[in-house]
Amino acid sequence: MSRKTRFWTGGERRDAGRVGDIVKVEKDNFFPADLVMLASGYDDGLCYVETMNLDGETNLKLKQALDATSGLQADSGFQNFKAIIKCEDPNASLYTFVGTMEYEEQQYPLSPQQLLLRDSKLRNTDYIYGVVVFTGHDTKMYHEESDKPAHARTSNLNEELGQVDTILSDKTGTLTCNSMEFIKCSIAGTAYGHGFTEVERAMARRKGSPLMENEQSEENYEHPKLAVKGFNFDDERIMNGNWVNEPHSDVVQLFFRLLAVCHTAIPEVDEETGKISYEAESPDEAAFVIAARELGFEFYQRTQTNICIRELDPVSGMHVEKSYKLLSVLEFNSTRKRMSVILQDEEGKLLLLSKGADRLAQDGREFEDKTKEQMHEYADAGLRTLVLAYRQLDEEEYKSFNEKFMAAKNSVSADRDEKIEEAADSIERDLILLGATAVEDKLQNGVPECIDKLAQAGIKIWVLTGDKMETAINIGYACSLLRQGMKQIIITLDRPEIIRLEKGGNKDAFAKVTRLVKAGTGKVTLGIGDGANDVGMLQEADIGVGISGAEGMQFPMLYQEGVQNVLFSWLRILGWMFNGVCNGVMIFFFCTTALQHQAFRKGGEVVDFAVLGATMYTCVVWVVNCQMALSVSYFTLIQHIFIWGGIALWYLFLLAYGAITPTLSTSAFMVFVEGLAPAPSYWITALFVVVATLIPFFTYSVIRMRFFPMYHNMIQWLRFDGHADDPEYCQVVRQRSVRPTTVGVSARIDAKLHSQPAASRRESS
Amino acid sequence: MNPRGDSTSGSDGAAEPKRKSKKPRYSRFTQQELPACKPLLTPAIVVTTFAFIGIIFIPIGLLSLSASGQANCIPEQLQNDKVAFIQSSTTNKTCSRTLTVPKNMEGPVHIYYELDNFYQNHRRYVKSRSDKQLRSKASETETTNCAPEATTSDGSVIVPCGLIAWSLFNDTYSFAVNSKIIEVNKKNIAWLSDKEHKFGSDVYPKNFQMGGLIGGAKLNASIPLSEQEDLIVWMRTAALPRFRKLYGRIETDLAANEQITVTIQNNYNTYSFEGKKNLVLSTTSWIGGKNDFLGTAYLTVGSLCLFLAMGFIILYLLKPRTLGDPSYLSWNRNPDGHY
Repeated sequence: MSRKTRFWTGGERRDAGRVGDIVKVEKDNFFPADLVMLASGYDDGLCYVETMNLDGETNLKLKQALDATSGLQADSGFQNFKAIIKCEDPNASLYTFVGTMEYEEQQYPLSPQQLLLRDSKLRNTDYIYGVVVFTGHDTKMYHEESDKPAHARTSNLNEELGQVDTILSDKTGTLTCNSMEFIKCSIAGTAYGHGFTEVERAMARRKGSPLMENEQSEENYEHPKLAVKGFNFDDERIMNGNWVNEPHSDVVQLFFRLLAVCHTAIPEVDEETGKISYEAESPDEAAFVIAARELGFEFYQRTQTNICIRELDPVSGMHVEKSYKLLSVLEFNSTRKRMSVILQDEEGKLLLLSKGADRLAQDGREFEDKTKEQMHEYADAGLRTLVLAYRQLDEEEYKSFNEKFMAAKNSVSADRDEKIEEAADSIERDLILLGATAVEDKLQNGVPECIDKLAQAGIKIWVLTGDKMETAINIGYACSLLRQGMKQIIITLDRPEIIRLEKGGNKDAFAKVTRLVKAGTGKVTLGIGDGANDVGMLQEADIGVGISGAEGMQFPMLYQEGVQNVLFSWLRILGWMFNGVCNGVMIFFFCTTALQHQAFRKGGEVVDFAVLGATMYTCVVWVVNCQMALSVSYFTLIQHIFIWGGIALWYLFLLAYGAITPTLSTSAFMVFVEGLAPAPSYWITALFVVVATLIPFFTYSVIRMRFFPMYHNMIQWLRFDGHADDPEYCQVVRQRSVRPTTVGVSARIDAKLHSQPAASRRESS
Repeated sequence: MNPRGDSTSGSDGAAEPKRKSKKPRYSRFTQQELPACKPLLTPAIVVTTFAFIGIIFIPIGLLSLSASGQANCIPEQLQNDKVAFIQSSTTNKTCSRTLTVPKNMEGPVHIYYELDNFYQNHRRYVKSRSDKQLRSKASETETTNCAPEATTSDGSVIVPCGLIAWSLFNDTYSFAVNSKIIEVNKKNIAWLSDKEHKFGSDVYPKNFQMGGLIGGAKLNASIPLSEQEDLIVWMRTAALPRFRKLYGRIETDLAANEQITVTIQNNYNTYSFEGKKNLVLSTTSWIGGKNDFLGTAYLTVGSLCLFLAMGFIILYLLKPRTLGDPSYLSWNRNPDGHY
């Protein structure tokens, strides 16, 4: 291995370095190649990277150098650096990496923790040193910059757009804004938080229930409180320190303390204002820490070993600073679906604090059922829920766990992850339930309504997401794609069974799924995404679009015409062909009969080949363009230019062609200037032929429009009558126009109506 | 595109360097926000349109009819039917007919010969000419499409070449009223553009009608093509198998009931293809010769439109469209629903 040290200063070159080079990357720069991190600006070898270009997730990921190398500092430190790295060949998986580093005659395991992927960005860290392991196109999957303009790959896009059968959508950033708000929680079986989620609002709107009015006033007085980003919680019972008066104040205290310490976020103190903000791995984590802070449990410092928070002491009523010794962090992973910390408080008590998906606590405390029920409601309201629980450990237990855990961590074998998991599982049991949190991943405007419409239009919707499965399901609920009682068939990459609605995987999987859907259904697919991590999907789908709000209530109605192929059928084609032939025959017959063989001008000249031909063609041009004009119901400048301009162009052509030398124009020479234009019979013949030919089509259109309107005609009527914005009126028209669906807001309302008990319960709460 | 929220609550929102955005420039065109009018066939528009057409068309129809009525026309059928007779060069082909002028005809009275079953529009016939040769002496040898009338048997070019010129009509007419010859003006019967631009003043007929098979008229080799107006008229090929061509004009008026004696040199052989020849005397109005079709057609369509306008008024009154009536929805008429 070479030992050159190169100083990497910016993004001017993307592909650089050879394998084995040591590079220094400074803050806010992209990594030029896949690197194994050796050291960073932080003493403990930590760094934060943003992998938006790779997986579209905007959160920061924490990476850590090996202890053995993290001490190397300054460029001179690498002058004599000698190590051998053995690792797997380049591959497409972003989240796995296996390798070892031999340094100073010792073997160290390498994990994804040390791997910095090309085209991810260094954030919040002054610099890092790393050694290049993969370069160029061998590096792990990089596709496109997120900042890519939408462009139509094919010109028949519009036709295909009308035939879309399946929509594949990315979740993060497409359906949702990827910003989390702490909105509700359930502590010791009591539900706190008055806020309404967007899904609840959407449903209330549809139902026209009194919730709407409440919400109006709610919004007004709620507004000033929204000042804190990520926090939309309002309940005077536990805010402003009032929680000390709650019946389960000890549980409340532990609940928020857990939120304040059980995470991997890092506080940043603004030196001017003293305000603390947090850098978290994921937005929901940030939301938790913020929630804890807002409720009086302010996390303000993290060191390698300690977590410090300021909290209200219920006895003295004063804010006291507490420091917890951080013993172990059992990080989140998708199979365990939980994260835990083990810490020692100031009194020396060992606590295991854990947060995770539903199946966490099994102790059957009295409020367990209530909590479950509330979580159910939260999920139904489109919230992501997490259960919080804890357990007290004794020294012995922790010691044996720690041994097992460290052993697992240091093993290099392929089953390392499983061993770690096993160790974690052994200690995360018999937990005591505290409660549950509910955060809302803000949906983009109008997403539930939009999905509802798409569903009514009979389009199948697949949401592809790289999220944790339960998150994905929650989002499914949030955007009305799923609802309670629907059967879920879930598949992740590990278990390639039948796919339905959910999909876990990285961006490459997006493309694979798209291909699968295309091949499986043979229908036109539409991919929606923000173009960051879902490029593969967008490219694979027949139609890829960036996001923009589809709106307008006419959409579902119109769409059925497309799906039902009303506008494309052989009968229709034959109809148009028949129309064309009829018009042609009429033009021919009228022109020849009108001009026949008598003189067509005062001067006694008779029509010849050229004059008759030009007259007929004039009629054809007029009839074609006028028929187009009759069929067009939306005239912009473009239509005007092309239709009327088309007619004008014909006359210009006649003039131009007639003006060139007779050697080329032969019989068309001066045919318009000399022959046609001065002859009144030419004009009145053309007028007659055009009008007479158009009358049948016009009459047909009038009758169909008035008495047999199609979907789009009805929308035109609505718009004409000026009622398009009147929901009542539209409802009347569309009452039967939409198909019954099993997804979407409408379906949720139906379901609600059918399960009255649930509905009434919601009303009362 | 989407308002992507800051991922975390962190302080990193500050000063992300402004990247060069490839976002397309906003334009109303690309965003489909052009101002538009949305025409809709509302009852008012429908009725107005029909009524308007009716009101415009009926007067045009009446006007056309009256104009056509002012144009008088005397067709005279000529029927001698012996192919052998007409092909012989020795027989006397003169015959005379007497016509009675039905109404006063103000000069100029146009004289037409009308041929029927003569396909001047035949694909090969139409092409059998050389416009270049007709235009200038320099292009005399350009006879590409003219076969079999391109050259004589000894290889010298024929001017004008081709089948169209070869088949030039050669009947002649002379008119007399009460034994007094009426002069026929054969000048200015061709289009001016033809005379000036298509037929050269330096091109003289050469080797014309010298072959074994005589088609039609012969041409005076001392007159340039630009002044051979009969030829020029003939060379404007007709679109339909029945056509008239201008022969000349009688510049004087013809009084009603006058007896006109027409002396016809019946030279042109239409018998071999069962064609017919007519002689037509006609005046013109602003609309041209006599043809009642346009007038009646305008009247018919005009009245039809008025009728439709009334029909729709009644229909709209009797059966107003009820918005939201599901029975109008096509899928309710189609029992198997949505697919």
